Amino acid sequence: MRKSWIIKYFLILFIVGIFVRSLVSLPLNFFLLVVLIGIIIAVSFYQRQKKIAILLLGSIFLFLGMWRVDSFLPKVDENHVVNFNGQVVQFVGNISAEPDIRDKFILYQIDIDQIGSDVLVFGPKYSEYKLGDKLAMQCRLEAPENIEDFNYPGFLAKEGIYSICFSPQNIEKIDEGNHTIKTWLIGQKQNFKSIVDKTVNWPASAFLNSILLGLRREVPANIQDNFSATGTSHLMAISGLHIVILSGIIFSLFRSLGISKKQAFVFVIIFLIFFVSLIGFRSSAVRASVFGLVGILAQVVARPKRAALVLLWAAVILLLINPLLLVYDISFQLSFLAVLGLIYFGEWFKKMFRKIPKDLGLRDVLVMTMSAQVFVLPWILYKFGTLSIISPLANLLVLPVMPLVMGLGFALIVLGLAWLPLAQIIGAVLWGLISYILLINNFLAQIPLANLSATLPLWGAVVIYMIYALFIYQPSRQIILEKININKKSTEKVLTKDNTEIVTEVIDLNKYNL
Amino acid sequence: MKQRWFYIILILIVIIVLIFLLVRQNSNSDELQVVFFDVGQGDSHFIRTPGGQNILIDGGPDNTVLEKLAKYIPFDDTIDLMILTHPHSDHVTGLIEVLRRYNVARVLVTGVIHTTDEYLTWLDIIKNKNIKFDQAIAPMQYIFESPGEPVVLEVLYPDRNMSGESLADVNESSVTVMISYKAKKFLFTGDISDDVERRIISHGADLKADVLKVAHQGSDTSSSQEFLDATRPGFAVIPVGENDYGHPSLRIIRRLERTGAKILRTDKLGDIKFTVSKEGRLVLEK
Repeated sequence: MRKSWIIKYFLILFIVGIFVRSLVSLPLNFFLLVVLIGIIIAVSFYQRQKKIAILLLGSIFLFLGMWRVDSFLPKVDENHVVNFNGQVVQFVGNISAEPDIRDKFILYQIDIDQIGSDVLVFGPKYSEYKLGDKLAMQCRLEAPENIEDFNYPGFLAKEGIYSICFSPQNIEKIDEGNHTIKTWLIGQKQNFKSIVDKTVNWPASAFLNSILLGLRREVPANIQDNFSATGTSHLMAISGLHIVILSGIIFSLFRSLGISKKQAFVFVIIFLIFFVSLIGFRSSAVRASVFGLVGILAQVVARPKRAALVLLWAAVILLLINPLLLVYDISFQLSFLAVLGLIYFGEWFKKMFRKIPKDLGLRDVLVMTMSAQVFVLPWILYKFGTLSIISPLANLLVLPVMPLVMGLGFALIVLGLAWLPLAQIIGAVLWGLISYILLINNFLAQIPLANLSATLPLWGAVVIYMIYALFIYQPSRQIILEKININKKSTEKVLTKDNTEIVTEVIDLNKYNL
Repeated sequence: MKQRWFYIILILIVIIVLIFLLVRQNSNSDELQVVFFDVGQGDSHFIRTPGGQNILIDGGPDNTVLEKLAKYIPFDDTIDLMILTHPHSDHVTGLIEVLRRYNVARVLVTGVIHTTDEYLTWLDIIKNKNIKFDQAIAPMQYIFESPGEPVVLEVLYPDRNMSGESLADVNESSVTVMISYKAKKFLFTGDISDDVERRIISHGADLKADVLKVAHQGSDTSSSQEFLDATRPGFAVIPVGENDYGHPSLRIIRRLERTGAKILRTDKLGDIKFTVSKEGRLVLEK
């Protein structure tokens, strides 16, 4: 058994532990006993049967996964906010997360002083309190409930929220919040937003704010509906998929300028830090960029097995920080699957699209979206139950414009800080480009049967992923050649026009113990 | 190869800049445009003078007004006069984002007391941006310089200083204005009730109008027979969307028809646009 396999096995068991414990409550003490016995047996076996020993040692990681969930869940004692659900209370607290501005209200996450836990408050639309402000209010606290099939309590629990306040009374601002880097960044974000608002016409400005600053809620509902009907919603969200594609574009842009892979990778990191600070270090964006980086790393190392290990590590680290993401955060699941798609389907799609020109990173963008989408699709069908037939066409028409929109968008903000009239010219161009995107989506969304509802049961999704797995683990000649390339650097290579390597030397395959 | 790309992009940029500057220069037409925006259940009307000045009366219940402004003045970021007839949310809400995105030179408002979040936010932005604040008290006039003949905006109501007053029904405070150009007249009534209509008539101003913005989405508490007799409109525009109030009232529609007005509803027709040419011809654009 190879070392990397052992590590993968342990990491996966850790994730399985989190998964199981998120769904069912287990008597952990009893489980710990079982694990201890397992370890004792494993140690005594170690000399004679290493494989069995390692298999048994895995139970430690299974246990650690479960234990992490347990330690993350709050201790419900008499001071916990859950006890106040159903009662009218008067409380004071600080706004602990960036206010989430919705269509009809603003969501404030408030850290209550007296008991030190968070409550979600539905504030009136035009109440404009800022992160860190200290507010006093009176409110009837309520426990979150399922919204149709959606597990709202679980969704909130992963943010540490167990109480909601729907109609706060007598809100009063007691104190301005402290100035921290985070509040400063969010203030800057408002500046950037107002530059966009002043230079780009509505609703193009809302779209731009959504893709640059993560302010998706501002986009009018009818436009959001169009995007989901044409299967292009991922463009508007700061999702793992979106960031993977974005990083990929920048990566291939620097590569085409003749910069080495490593240096281009560093530029991607710098860009992502800039981008995430633009959004104000929102945790979902940070998570998305972790996955984005792994996706690019997959392109750099170009070896699926190693990339998959990095992806596993990334997932485990994120789950160590917040284990509830695994089951309750769809964005986490989709990001993970998208990167998995890049890793395993990327090469295959590269071959399929080899006729498409490489200019402006067109081919790379296409390869990345297709490989990610194909992998994400079964899960989307299971979770949301809609299938957009025109999605490939819509993506093909819209995607090539996206790098230009993003690039000009950043230029707009930078120029807008310097001199607004100059930014206005770019704003006019952006308005044109984004209007094109909106028009295409509006047109395609009108097509009858464009958006089918096709619900996939869980077992259906699992079966499809099994088929994917079979496809991935099919041993192929290409992989063998690649391995040899890496193992034996002196092998002669002929570089063809599009940089694919052909090994010319005849190699004795037996020599390499494949 | 790379150099050719560079030149193509450079030329494109130059062309775009030139087009942009050209469009900005030549966007003045020599006619008066009056557009009743279709913003759903609420009011928002836009006037562009032959001199290229922009007047916005109310903003509707949401951000739709931004989309409309982008459509009619895509390359202009100045509103020369913003009028808030009264602070109800279906009139003020859209104006908040307009204030944030456009250079608003001055606002005309009654200053009546109302404490909804929307209205307070709107006032706050005006204060922070130091926008010139005009108190609406009839009689007063704005004159918009235009090639040929100026466009005149006349305030007919409120007839007293309402600043700081709190009313049981702020509809009663609606700023009512008449806009005239080349002897063609447009009357904007906000949400005034029949009581206010009688007051306006009693002041003895000439209320004859070619186009009447029907008060309060065609509610039966407005548009009294006396008022319609005094205005005798050729066109009656009802800005209205889906609602639970039964707007517009069937009785008012009958009354308008009897008066001989052609009824135009934004929920049926979308935006309703009139132009007055420099020869003084009133055209309803299809």
